[in-house]
Amino acid sequence: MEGLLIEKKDGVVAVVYGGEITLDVTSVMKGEINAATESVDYKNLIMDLSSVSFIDSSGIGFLVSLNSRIRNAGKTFYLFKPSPQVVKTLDLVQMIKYFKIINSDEELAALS
Amino acid sequence: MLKPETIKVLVADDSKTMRDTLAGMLKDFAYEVAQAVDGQDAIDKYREFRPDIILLDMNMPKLDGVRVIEFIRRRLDDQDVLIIMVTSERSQEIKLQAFNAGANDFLNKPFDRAELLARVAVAAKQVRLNNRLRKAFRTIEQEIDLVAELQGKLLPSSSPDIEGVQIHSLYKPSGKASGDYFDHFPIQEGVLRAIVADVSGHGARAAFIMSIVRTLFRTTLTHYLDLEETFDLLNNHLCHIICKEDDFVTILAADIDFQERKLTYINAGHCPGMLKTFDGELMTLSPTASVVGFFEMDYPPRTVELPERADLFLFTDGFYDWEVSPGEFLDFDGFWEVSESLLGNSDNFLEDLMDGMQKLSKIPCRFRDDVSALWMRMEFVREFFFKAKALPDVTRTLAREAMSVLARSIKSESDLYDLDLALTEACANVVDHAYKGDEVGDLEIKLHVDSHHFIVVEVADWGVGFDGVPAEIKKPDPKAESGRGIYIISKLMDEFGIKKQQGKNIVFFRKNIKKELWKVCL
Repeated sequence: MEGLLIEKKDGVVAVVYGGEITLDVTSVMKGEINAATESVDYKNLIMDLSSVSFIDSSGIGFLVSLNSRIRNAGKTFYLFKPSPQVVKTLDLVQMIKYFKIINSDEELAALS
Repeated sequence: MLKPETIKVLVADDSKTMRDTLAGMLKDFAYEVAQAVDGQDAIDKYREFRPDIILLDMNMPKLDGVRVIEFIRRRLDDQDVLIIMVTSERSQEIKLQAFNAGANDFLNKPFDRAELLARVAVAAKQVRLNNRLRKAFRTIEQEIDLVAELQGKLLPSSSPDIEGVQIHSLYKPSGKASGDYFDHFPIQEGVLRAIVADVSGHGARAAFIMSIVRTLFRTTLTHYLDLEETFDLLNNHLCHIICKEDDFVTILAADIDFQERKLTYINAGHCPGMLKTFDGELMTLSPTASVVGFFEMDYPPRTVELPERADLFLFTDGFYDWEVSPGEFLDFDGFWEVSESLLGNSDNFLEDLMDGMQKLSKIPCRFRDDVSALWMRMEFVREFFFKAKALPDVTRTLAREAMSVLARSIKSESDLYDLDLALTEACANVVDHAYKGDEVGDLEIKLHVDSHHFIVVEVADWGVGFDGVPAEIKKPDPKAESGRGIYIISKLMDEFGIKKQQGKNIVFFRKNIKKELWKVCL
């Protein structure tokens, strides 16, 4: 899908998305991420949200669902540099503590 | 010293001897001479040679002298060329015919050489005088053109971009330069100053005083003065400059405060302004003080509350000085009646007013005086509707469209994000729950914008309907993948509810927005 980039390297799946995460994109995103990670061995999935301009409760639901699936598979799900808009919505529904968040490139480098 | 201009003389006579005699005499005195052999030739030579003086024989073949004069004066519309009839014709009647047709002088043949030269010299003097007068008029006209051009630059060329406010203006100087002035500019955060003024008299003098009034008003743009202080300044200056003259200025100026929804005005001897609500209530902005520039006096302002929607009309008295039939003029009452009926009802008020007044006239529009007008529509409360099918991608596009309307009014990014989020949640709620099975019904967004106060958003569908708002909206389970929409709306908005109305299920919410977070673009 447009704006979605998935990279797999050294046990890390990096998902980068720029744009809005709302009801009209979540199901397609979910499908593409599932397909890209299905037969891949990885330790961490890092979701880069630095270029997300808008996220609604459907987008939050999508992140919760992805987080649950990855945790249940024994892997770790991280949000990387969530944009102020993402932080605002996550904070609003008091979900900010629920996710593991990486806010800098140094923290990201320390993971690998 | 300038070389005197050469005077061109056309000698028209069918006698070669006569032509040669006359031409010889005139050339001796430095006149430039051309000859015509008959009446038709006289007209042809006139066109080629462009003479200043014509010595014209009365009896010539093809066209006689009287016809030649008539042709030049009437058909060619030349009233300036000096025509001296030179003829042996003695008939008094013929002479009268020639003078009636436009001849300037008459000389009988045989003529005295000295007399003929003296008459031509008088005509030449007249030609030179006319040329000087024409040149002087051209210079004056150029100066007036320059004044008019500069004056045009003193008037606002565009309207400020204020959401919910339309400003139209009209300016018709009776001559080139005018004593009328209108203006509008931001005077403070959220306050627009509107002015219509009329300097007594017309032309360059009135235009000069108008430019002083404009300069003093515009000074308040950089050095804030309230209306009363501004009028004191204007009156002091104008009294100093023009108090011993007959000139004076009438001014109606208003400060329109968009945040407080108030209009403060001073009317110094000007014709009354009109403020009309959309409910039809008319408020007249009558004079509050006498004219400016005559004597020292106070200019106390008046303040009126502005309704949700109103039209303001300010004009100069030239507007009703309109000739409706030859010699008959439209009066103030007739003008007022037309204006009142259109104000608040017309979206193109000034154009419609001109049309309306034209209908009262038996002749095409003719103003005697300078005419200026300013029309302003203020809509503090507006509603916008958006409708589409309740599909995920379609409704998000619809929500963005609605948000772009709100972004024109609100400058707070944070409030806009909150409204966008709440609106998107309400739309997603309709997409997910309003219609059963594969049914794709409609979704409607209504925005109610109460400028500088609040926004109410309604999202409606025609589906099965929702339960009411739960008494307690609980924080959603962190692990839940859905069910956060209502919680988000309730957290972000100042009021939130669900209602049924005319077959529609409506989720509505209200966001109060601080006055300073609205755009006024001033």
